[in-house]
Amino acid sequence: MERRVLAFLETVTAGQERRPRERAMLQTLAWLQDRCAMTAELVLWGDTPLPQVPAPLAGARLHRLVEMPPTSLMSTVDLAACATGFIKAFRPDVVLVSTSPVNSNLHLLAAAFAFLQPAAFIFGVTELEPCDPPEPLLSPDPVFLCRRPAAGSLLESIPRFPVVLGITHCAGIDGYDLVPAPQADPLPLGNLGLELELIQMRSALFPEPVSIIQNPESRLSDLETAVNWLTADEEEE
Amino acid sequence: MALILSVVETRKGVISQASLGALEVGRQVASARGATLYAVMLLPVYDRLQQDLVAQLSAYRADRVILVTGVREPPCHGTWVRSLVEVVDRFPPAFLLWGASSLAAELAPYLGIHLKGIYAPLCTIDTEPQLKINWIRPGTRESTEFFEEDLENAVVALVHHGPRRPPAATSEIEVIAIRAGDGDAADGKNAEGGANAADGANAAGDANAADGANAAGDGATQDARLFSPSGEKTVDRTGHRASEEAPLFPVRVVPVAEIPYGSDTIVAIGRLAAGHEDAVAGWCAREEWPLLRMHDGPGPGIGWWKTSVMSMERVILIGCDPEEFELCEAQLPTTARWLCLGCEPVPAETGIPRVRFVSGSLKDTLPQLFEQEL
Repeated sequence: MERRVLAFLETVTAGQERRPRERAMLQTLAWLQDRCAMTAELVLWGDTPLPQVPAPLAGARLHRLVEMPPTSLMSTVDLAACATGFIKAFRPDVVLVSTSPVNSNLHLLAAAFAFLQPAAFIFGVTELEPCDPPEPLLSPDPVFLCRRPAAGSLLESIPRFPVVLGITHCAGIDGYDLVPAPQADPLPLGNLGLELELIQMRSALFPEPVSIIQNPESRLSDLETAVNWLTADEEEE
Repeated sequence: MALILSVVETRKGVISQASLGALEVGRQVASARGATLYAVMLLPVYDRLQQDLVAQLSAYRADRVILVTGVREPPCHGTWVRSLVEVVDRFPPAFLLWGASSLAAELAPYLGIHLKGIYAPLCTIDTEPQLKINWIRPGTRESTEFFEEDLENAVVALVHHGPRRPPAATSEIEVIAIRAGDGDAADGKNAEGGANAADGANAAGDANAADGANAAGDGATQDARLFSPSGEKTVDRTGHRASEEAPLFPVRVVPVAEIPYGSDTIVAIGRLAAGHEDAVAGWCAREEWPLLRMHDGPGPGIGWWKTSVMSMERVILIGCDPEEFELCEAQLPTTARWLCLGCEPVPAETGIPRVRFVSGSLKDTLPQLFEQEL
């Protein structure tokens, strides 16, 4: 049976597909379809269009969530309810998110998949590699190996399905060229068993975001001042 | 009384700086709220060599220690989540704090879901004049302020700095000992595997034994744990079951170029330093500092994706473009002091609290840097 990989990209700003982690996530999605014969589905969270995708995704299914608020305005319970809807509608074997800090609420969504399915959760993957199934894992499934750095070492594992992967980098994959993205199909919330009113009701309880005004100039200095700061004792800082 | 849990990570018998920072924040919150601060430490074994760790936790002002032993290695979601879920079920926290690390990034969102809490991977927590969590959202230039009255559920927060106060004298401290897997008498295999935590082969075998627990195909079991659109779980015992049934798989620890033990400074080099790589590598070799390469191309240093750096006092970035700077923010210790040379353009925002950007070209600043006594 063909495995299904469901990837999420929150399109916060235009051109996000070219940022390193989002790009790595899209390349991984393409690689899983191309090399592991999985069916790739990409869910776009937000109204910003995705103009290009890695070549193997030219024929993949893209979904654009309709009326879904940004994840930053959604509560943990909403995200868990979303994961429930996606599990029922798509039955994914692999869920992909980018580990980009911009998408930290998608990390909650990913964790909800791991919690609800239940699925293994591997966060911070930096390398992928096709491999032969080791003896105890004999199965008709395509097998791949992923590595992630953790606590001074590199953890290497062969995921079993279902699995949720947080992608940081895609070393081991020869980058695919970008091609025009296929048309994204609108995905109404109703198809996921979600109700906008309920989500909005809970969002309304969220405190209003406030702007952060930063002044990067204050962190600029000449070398001598910066070195003095670097070598000062904690108390002097 | 409210509970504050602070998860403690150790490596080679040393508590990470970020964990001590989280403990310190936990102390402030606990004191402000009249709550009890529990340090949560997970270890494969607890022996004479580890006893100092508990003493240190008392010195960093924990009220109690929850000590979970028999946990398999390496620390990751597959080996820790079950024990952590058991801990938060037995000691439901108002705050779950964790020093920012790759392990925290892997496990904290899951615990956030389990607790139906607020997940704040980047935030500041103030206790004066009142308790306030300032949840910063990278990329949006916005933050959301939560006050005590907004907090109906637990807050799961990562702390990005080390301790700022010196430790107190050590004192007696209550230790609550939990054996990993004790909460589930039916699963003797996992507990047994935990005793052999250092033995990778045994751990792998144990994982295989649990393979049958994969409930993905079990529609009834799966539906029973789903969230309804109203946001309520259809059953209330999902958390424990989820951790119990999560598919396990062997995790192998691959040796990587070792960051010299005792290094207090790490240097990261980016694309913009292309003409200066040999000079930087030579300087690092003289100073005996590890060098990380932040791009995929050839060059000196360890590729950033091959290693993880848990704690350093100082991080020196040389010639990193915005993409590489963002990578450094995610990969290198945010608790350190950061000195950035030739990193252009200077980012408009950063999650690094202690950072200085040096103006001027690398051609001019590097020779001066190499002459400094650092």
